[in-house]
Amino acid sequence: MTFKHADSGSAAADELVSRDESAKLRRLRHGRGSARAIAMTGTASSLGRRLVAELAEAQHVARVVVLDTVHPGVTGSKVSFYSLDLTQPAVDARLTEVLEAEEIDTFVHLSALEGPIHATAWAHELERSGTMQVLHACHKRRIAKLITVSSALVYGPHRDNPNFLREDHPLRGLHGAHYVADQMDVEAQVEKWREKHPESFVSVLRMALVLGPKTQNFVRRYLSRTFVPSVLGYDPLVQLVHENDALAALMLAVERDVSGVFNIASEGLLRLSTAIRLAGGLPLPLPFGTLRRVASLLWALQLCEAPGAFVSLLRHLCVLDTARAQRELGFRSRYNAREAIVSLRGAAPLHDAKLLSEAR
Amino acid sequence: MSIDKSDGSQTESSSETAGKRPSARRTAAESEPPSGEITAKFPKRVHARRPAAQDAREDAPSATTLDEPTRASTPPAPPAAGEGTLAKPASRSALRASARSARAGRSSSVPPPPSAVAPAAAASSGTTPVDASATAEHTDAASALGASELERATQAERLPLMAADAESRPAATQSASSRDAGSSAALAPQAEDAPARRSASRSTARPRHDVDGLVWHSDAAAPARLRSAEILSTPMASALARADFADDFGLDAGYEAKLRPWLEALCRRYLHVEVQGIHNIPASGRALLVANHSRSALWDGIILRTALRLHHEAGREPRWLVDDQQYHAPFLGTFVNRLGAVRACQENAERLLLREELVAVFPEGAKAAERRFEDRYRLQRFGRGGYVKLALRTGAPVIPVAIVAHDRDYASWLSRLSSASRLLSTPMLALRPGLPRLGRLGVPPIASHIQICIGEPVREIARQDALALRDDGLVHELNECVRGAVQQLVNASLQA
Repeated sequence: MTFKHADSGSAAADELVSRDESAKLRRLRHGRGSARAIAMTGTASSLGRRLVAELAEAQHVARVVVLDTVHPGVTGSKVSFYSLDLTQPAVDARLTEVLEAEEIDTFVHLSALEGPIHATAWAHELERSGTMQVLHACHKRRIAKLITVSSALVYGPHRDNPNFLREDHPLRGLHGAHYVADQMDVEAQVEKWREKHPESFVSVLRMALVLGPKTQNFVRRYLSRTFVPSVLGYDPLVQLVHENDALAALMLAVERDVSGVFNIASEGLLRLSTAIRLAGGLPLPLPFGTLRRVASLLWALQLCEAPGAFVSLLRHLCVLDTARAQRELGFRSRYNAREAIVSLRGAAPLHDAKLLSEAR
Repeated sequence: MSIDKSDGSQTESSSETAGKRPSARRTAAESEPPSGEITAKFPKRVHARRPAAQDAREDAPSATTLDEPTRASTPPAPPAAGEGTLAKPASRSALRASARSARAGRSSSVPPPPSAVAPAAAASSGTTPVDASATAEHTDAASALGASELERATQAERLPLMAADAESRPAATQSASSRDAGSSAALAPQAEDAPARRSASRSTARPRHDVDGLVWHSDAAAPARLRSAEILSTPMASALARADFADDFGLDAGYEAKLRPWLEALCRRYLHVEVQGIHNIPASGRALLVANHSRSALWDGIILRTALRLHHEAGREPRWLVDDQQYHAPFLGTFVNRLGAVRACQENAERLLLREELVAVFPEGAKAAERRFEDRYRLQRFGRGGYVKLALRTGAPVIPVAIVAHDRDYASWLSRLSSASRLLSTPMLALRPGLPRLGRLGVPPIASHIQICIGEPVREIARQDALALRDDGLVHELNECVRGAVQQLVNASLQA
């Protein structure tokens, strides 16, 4: 691996990079002291809300500006809220206005959906057009640092995936899944923006499937079934990221001045069947074609958590190599895959009890 | 609930409703029975903080009469509790408390709410404002209590995770142990590093945990720890302690251990595996074993792995690479993957070698199954020499291995049954010549004899430097060279 990159002429490139880096650093620091002014979108998700809370307490953050349609429910002297809808046309003008007024230097663009939804047109607007508007505003404000999240699904579960996907692996997505296509488009836009703005730090965090007691997504709904469908004859390794690890990675991305794409995942791999049993379910193996068709049908009837295309996830590998995040971002996973699942089990009774007491 | 009950019981019910946050539909009468264990701690402290408002409260009509109006018109939440705490949200724990109290405030309309009280009570002097403030106050107290309870509960929930983690991690993830094995001293900064943890330690109510997650410094945590041990340890800790983590590449140690006696018996008793030149395999460090396929592609890797484990003094076990056809076959692919097979691709092999593992490749691949029976000892082409590039890139020594299934005595029978054995993809079906007369089942299995010959590392590859990678012609030559070495081993084994 290391000797692969050891090409001649790297010294000159290094020098170039270091000069570039120092320019970036100067830009970042030129605000007030070294404290950051951070703008965030997508704060209505549990991850976004927790990130606002964390940032509001962080020493190195001067203020957090929340741009969303709903208030994140986090208040504080550093937090200010602007109601903005990224799906509206020409929202970038107002966005620029806010960024200028608040003298923002760091933008955390989190408004990625947590899973596939039926309103694909709206998702398209939010993710693709919303990102376009955000990037436009960032360009006008000349943001020094941009952070976005993506998911491991952009690599996609494929037959010929190596066991560990590095960041430079081609993005092939998941055929027939709008959710993944949107995310790939967002990544492409951000990549383009990075090329045009070499003076800014741009980092993309590709998260494995997020799981945790406070996260509600399709993975959790899948694992919380009693009979959990799986593909007959296949038992792939699954990789997860605990929500706290995901949060820690985002905090690191805000703190550290790094640029690039980073795979984020918790330690340890589990067989799918093990994961299902750990979550307290029973695997229900079905032939691949049948399962796919049934899932498509149920998705059309809004009765299951993901469209048929996602069944490939139960058949092929999609496991990330987090070496780069460890090396450059300093990311260390504090949880492993088993803990991510078991934490659900602890949360489920509590959740049920709460629902019961509220329903009475 | 009637008026003449002691005020203690009434406090209990109201504080309990505040603690559990029932919806407005829930009636006071219903809320009474399940009050038992959950809020056993609340009444005394709430009672202690409660001012003289109790008396005013007792003037209010009983809960049974309150039943109807409560359900009919659920009044809006008294704003005092919610807003009072929302105004000072400094830390997250305070926020959580405020959110809780806001909810509690909403639900506190269930016990005698001022506007819903029967007209008689409303008329009977100015008790209602006092009552409202009392309700607000003690829901506030209860919510603060509840928040700290919640806090402790979440902390308690984390304890067994941490403890079991500390126990299970070294055993479970051997591959990552080099990082983790940096001793607790190395772990210490790491533990303080992650922001999520830092925030956890920042909130004052939470006890701090030590590096290993087992030592607790705060006395306040003691009851929580006890409770966590009682409630949470049983299912969760056992789930965490079980070593059913798959290896990074899917090797399932538990599964293999279960099958190990059978596999060893297969190698020893049935196949009579004999290993020559075992000393050529280094006791440690990376190495690439290049082997031919004896007639069954499925079992060669398993046999090689088992035989090396049995015969090598350091007990080294190779991982072997399988092609897509086998890896993606339903059931079969998972089976071999759990026993240590890895999908053949450059990235995987490179990663394994960089981890100083022993990797076996079968460059003949699926071609081996296509050859005719007469050609069973003649090696097929060795692919495009991907393994040569791999060896050049990682600097791993290439060790030729010949797996030879001797069938001198049974050749004629085997020629007839070769298609059958291929169909079953079993190791050589060894049959005694006198088939009809012998054995109860008609097909008595007889041990054939498998010889595994391990040669010396191929010197031609060891001599090359990384520049050879760019020379395709050279790679091809080296490929042929290795193939020649394996063929020689096969021939030597047959002539012996």
